[in-house]
Amino acid sequence: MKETLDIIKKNFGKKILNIKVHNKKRIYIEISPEYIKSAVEFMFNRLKCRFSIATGTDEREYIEILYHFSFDRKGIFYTLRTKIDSKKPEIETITDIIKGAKWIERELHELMGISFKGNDDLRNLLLSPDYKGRKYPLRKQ
Amino acid sequence: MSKEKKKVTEIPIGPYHPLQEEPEFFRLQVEGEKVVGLEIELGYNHRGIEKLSESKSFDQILFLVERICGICSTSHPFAYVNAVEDLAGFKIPEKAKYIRTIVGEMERIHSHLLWLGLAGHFLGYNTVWMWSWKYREPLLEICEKVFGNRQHYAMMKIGGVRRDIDISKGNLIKKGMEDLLPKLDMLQKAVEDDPVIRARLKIAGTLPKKEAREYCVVGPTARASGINIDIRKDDPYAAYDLVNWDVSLRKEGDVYAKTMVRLEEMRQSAKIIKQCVDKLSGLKGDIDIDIKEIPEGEGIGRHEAPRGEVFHYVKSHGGSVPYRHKVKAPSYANVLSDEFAVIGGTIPDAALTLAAVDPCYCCTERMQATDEKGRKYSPKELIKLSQEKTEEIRKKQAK
Repeated sequence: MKETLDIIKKNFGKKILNIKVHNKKRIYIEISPEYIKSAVEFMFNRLKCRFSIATGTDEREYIEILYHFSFDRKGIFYTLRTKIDSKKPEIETITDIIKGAKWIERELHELMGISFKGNDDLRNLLLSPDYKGRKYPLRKQ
Repeated sequence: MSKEKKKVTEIPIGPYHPLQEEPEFFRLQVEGEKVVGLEIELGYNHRGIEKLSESKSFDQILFLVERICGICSTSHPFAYVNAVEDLAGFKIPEKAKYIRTIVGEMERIHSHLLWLGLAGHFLGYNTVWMWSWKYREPLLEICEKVFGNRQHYAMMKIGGVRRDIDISKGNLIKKGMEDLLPKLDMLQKAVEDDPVIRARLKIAGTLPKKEAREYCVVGPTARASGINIDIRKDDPYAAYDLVNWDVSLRKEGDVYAKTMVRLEEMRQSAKIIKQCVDKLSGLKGDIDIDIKEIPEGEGIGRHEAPRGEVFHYVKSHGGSVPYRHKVKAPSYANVLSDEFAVIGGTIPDAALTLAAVDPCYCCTERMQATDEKGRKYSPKELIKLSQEKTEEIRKKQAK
């Protein structure tokens, strides 16, 4: 676990805002949103982690996006955490790096109202195609 | 619409799938017999589970997530309890570990048998379908006798399991496994030896390793494409590191490989169950720990469901309800990979390929045949009735 975390630390350097080691199998790494794409690319292409899913949480002051990467060889979950402005939630897409992220970006767009720069297919996935209200179901009131 | 798109013919399959009987919409784009594109539409069955979960207590959520899926009814609770236990750092008693493993593996076997039957049905080879479901039935009966229900066992609980297994029923489980093994051999032979099935499965829906990784597929879909991932081995939980078993792996990535992976997995599951029953018989102690409250924090739990990794993320800001609960089912990753796997194949292959990832079904419906007076028919009587009916139809046609 330590070796891989050291590699991540070395590569990300000052981009890392915080590291939380919940236990030896669950590690959360906080990164500012402008570096998230390069971090995702490193996790997926260099470390060969599997992208499991992304979670969006409305923390009221900000919106938190977690990119969960499974390092299957060692059974460790590295989660990249980033916080974006809840008034203008926008972040770069990762679908050009990971095809498997297509659906979750559409889902985060319709349920949380997050825009993904560079992703031109943000049609509703789960909600009705004509649901284009201002209320996002997973936002806190 | 671009010029390219104008040339293709679109075959709509859905919104209610005629064969899989599930609400999903596949738009197959074809040029003659050849499939050139696929668009998948979802959301016909969206129930807002994640939102609902935010208004339920940690204990109530177990019953909610158990109803996400009918066939992997224990997979979501399994991943959810793992997530909450990861959040709070709870350690569960050894006895609970074995019981959880038995429930999880029983589910894997009956789910794979269900898939195999459907695959046979899609191929037009209904013998495999009938055999497969016939041998699935005794397993569901064991589930009913041991866990109290054929589906939705409600065995999982944060910090352990809800009910102990009556160990006198251990022999029943073991016998069920012993009886199953020769049937699995028979089914495997049916698939391997029949030139038509073999030819049909061999070429269909190939997902190479590179694409399997790009689409982040999981479970048997990944393992049939040579990706050696299995949460039970990689990140062991419950009793998976306390028993001996192997991950089944193939390289070809076609429907044949997916079938073989699942057949081998059933054998491994039987092996795991037998070991768990043995270990459980000599074990004394509690089946759960006493839990007062769930602290603030976040946790990730996962379980290798029959279709692959089920992922649950739970975040608590204190209190009795979670602040956020994220759920990911394996089909979410696997179904998307179809947009690659069907390309270049023929239309009949596409129908099979779309089913090969084993998209989730609900099989909770069950029936009990009774006559007008409410008398229940026995299985033998039902077979007799069926034969009489067949004979009747035969006579009518002869006229």
